Amino acid sequence: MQLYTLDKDALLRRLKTSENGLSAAHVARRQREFGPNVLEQVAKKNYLLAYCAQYGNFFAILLEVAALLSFIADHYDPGQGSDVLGYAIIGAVIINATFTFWQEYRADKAMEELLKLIPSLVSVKRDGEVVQITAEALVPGDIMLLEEGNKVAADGIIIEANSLYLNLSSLTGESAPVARSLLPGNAGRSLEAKNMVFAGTTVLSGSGVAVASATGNATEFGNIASLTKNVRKTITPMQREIIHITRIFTAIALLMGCVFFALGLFSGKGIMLASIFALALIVANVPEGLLPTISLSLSLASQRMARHNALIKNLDSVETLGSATVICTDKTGTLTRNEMTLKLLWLAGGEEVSISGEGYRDPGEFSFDRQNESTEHRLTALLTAGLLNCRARIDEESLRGDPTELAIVAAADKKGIKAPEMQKLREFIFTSERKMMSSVYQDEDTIRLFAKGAVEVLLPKCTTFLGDDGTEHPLHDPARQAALARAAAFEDQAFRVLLIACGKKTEEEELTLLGLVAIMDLPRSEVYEAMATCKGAGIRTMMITGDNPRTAAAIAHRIGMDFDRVITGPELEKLRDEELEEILAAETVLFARMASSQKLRIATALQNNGEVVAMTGDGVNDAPALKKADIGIAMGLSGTEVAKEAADMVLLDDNFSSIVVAIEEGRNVYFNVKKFVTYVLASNMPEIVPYILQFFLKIPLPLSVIQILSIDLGTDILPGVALGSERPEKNIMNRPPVGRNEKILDWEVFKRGYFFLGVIEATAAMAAFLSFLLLHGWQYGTVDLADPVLHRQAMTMTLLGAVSCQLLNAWTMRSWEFSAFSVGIFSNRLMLLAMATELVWVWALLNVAPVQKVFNTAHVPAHDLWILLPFPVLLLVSHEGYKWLRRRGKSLITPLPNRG
Amino acid sequence: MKVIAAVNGLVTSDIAALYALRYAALFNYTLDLLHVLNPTDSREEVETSMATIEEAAAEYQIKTERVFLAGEPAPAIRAHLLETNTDILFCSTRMRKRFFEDSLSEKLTRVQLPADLAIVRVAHVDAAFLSENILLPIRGDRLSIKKFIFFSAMAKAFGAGAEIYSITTAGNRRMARLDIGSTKELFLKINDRLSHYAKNLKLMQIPLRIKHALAENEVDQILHHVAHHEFQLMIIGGRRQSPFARFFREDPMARLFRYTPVNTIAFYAREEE
Repeated sequence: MQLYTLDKDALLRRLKTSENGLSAAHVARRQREFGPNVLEQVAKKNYLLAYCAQYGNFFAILLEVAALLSFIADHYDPGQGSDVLGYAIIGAVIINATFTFWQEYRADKAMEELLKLIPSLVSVKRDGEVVQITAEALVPGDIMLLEEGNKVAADGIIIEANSLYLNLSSLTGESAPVARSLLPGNAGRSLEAKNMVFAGTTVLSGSGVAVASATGNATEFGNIASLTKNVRKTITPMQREIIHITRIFTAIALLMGCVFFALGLFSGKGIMLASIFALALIVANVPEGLLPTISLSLSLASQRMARHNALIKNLDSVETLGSATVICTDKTGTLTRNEMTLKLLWLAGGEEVSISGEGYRDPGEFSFDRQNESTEHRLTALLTAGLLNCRARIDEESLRGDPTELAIVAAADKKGIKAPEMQKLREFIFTSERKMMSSVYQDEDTIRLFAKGAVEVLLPKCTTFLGDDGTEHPLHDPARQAALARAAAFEDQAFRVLLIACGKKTEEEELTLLGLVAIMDLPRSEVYEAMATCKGAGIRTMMITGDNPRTAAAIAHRIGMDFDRVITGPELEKLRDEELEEILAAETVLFARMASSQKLRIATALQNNGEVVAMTGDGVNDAPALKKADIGIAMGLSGTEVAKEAADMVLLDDNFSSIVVAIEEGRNVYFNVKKFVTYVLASNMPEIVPYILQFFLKIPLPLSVIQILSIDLGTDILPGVALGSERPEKNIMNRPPVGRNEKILDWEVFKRGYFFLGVIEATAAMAAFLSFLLLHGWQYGTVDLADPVLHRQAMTMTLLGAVSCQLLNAWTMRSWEFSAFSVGIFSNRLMLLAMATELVWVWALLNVAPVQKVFNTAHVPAHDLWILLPFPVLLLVSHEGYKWLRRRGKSLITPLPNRG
Repeated sequence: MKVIAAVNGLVTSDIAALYALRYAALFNYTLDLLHVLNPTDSREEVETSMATIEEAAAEYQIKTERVFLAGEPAPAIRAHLLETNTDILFCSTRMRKRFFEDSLSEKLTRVQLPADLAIVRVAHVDAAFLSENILLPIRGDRLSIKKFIFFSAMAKAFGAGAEIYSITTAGNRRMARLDIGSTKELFLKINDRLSHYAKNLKLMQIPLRIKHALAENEVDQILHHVAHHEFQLMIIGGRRQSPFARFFREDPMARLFRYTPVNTIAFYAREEE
């Protein structure tokens, strides 16, 4: 038997306590037995350790070994600049580690926000005395005293209640006051018991006494905290991609390093030379700038999304958005305006009036048949009756009152009706049991009563109606049926219907039916287009709402949201997880009458089906689902702090269409990352090939390791970031979502980067190096050049060969499928800035002595630079040609998968 | 055969005794209500507790006996168990640990007992009266026969639905490698290995669900699962650790035991001689 079903005596006996509370000795023992009344905190993450761990990944270890080898080389052969190289590599490792750590450093503040809902001090009765104790010291069996404004510190069962109302929104999501009583009512579980109070909730009014029944993690609030804290996100596509990329590059770098170390040893170069050689190849293969570029690019994307009212909290989610296959969205405020609008009126005489304009402040017109002169008069009478029976007020700065009443006031405003001066005598308040309210006025010597409420409640109280001739007629059955039929028709269109009536008595009886008003929270105007975009992009949209199925379905139809079936909260309760997964795999579902806590189940089931889920939410109890979803989206305007902290993205305008814009940006990020990975890969070839050629041919060293780093961590970074800022390609929302198994580093990227653009760049670099040497009298077979300046000039030409090609590579890479010239020359100013910066850098390499010293470069006369010209042009033309051939070869719009 | 419940007059020990009572009722064993006299516990409260439990036992027509022992609790209990033909000892545990003072339950886990031991951690006072869903989290497919028998006995005793929650731990990299297909394959293999247990529960007419999870941290995953579903009792396998080992490293199950939001029984099978 549940505790809340016991009578007071049995309850106190079961908990071994009394109305006077526990004794000090019992409290001490219970604190040992049950522990302190605290929620289990997340084990504090050791950020120092987390940062140090960044130095232990594959990339980092590779580079650390390379740095160590550099210092060893410098020790045995000083003055060759190996120490500078060592420091440079360490710099690269630190940059990488810091950027990666920065991404991971996301303090979990959701728990902190939850803890704010628990009070620090509570009043309890112990040993017959009322004492204030810390909430932590509360134990089961304690007698809690509840006063207006108190936060509740533990779950408890009420033994005394005096008009006690609680705000249970932290548990249920509903912020309306909930009455508490001494009896549990028809409760299936503790959360439904009317005689229970819960930790994390607030006393809105009244007072009461409750016996603490559960503390700490055992409370209902502890469950939410536990869900919020312990929900683990599955690895994001971007994290998976980074692991994939790291693994491939590490394997290539190690393989090449080992092969050339062995070759060096067998060819008699000595262990030192072979090690340095292997080291150079490892450094050349590792794209040191890749991770910082990805981080910067994601960060820039998140700034662009913020301009579209989507605030990204978790950088990795930017790219995850591009993979979203399902959006689970709330209805109210997200798909709809969260402003009730009176759209249709039915006058008791039989006319229907439609009103234009949406929301509380839009102007609007009344459309009706104006042939009957009395219509205008009866319409005014109905709206005046409605206005006089509303507490809501709309003024220039604020809106006050119930949304339904605001809709009536707004409609009266549109008609220019002002409330006539009358003395209000009394008001019969609205309650969920009565389903109606009335106000009684004195108009000079006449008593006037105005009533509004549910049709089924108010219609039986009407005895007359205002007919189409403007006079009162007895309300016979046909007129009554006409009103009911019209109300049903409005309800079928998802309108909330109220009946308006007036009377001449001070009691709610013998009323005159004036008409019906049909009110609706209308869909946002942008939602229609956003919904169409989702369909085109292969994204399923599912509504999860607390509303009834009929209203939810009508709104879905209105905005063009497709669904195969409706599942209600109670129906979901009965489904097993496997059944839910099966349904969600085959059908698009509209979830109605749902509790927020059920969202987590839906998110989990969708994820188990391989879907990438974007989920919206605003309440405290939405937090677990927001954390579980691949992209948790909190509402910026209506959301609680807990929801915002648990989410990956906050919608500043609560608008569904902002999600769709964010998804487009997410897809864009995916393709932009693909572009700059290809761009970065292309520069690996001119870094690797010179070493391989120098190994097999009798030529001087074409490129130093420090020059390799100057490309990877210098010239490649800014254009890479600029590529990350490119605008979406024109077909981006006409393709299916990025698949979970779709890799950024796929064969196409390898092919384009390494074997196509990379080969051109390597040819450019070696051609520049060898041509320059040959033009200056070098003969094949001379490995050690007598003139060190000539060698440095030649190496500078290799470097410039690679950099000049990368300059135009960045430009042509601006579009993956289309011509780079079709995206607009000035559409990406960062790219122009990057290119200008690169030119300045080239100038510095050629002319600035300190730069030359560090990077082993030398001035090259302008008349020798012509050697560099043909290759960048060749790269540009051939890549544009390659894209053109691809466009011709296949349709760019990939057909969407057919969902059976 | 006997089932013994250690009683000290506190609410938590009453709850542990109620679990013992349901277990004893299933096998029609005698329930011994045992107390080791000590200066902390009030004899009056202990006897009141015993009376309440005896009252409940009468409803199940279970024979009860009161046993009062003296001396050092753990050795005294061990000696008593050696003298009696005992199947299992139920004992509640306290939540707040004291650094230099182990609780009786902790001491009992460190001595070799001739009976199984069930340490009960009470989070909800009323769950011992109504347990509709019982959870048994396991690591992968690792489930001993003894633990399974205790789990199925508790499920049968309460007429509850049973759930075996298999957790496969995997780091970030392994998770990245697993796709939906290979994950399902992994879970099917576990189901296959647990199939004889499933058949057994079917024979006993206990409704069973086997659920799976891939998690980085098994304790976090269990706490999340428990918070998300309606369980009234969880049974976990206890692991004996030397004081030396415990000093240096907390057993993950100990953390689970401390922070569980539902009543939890850690089951320690008797050690073979």
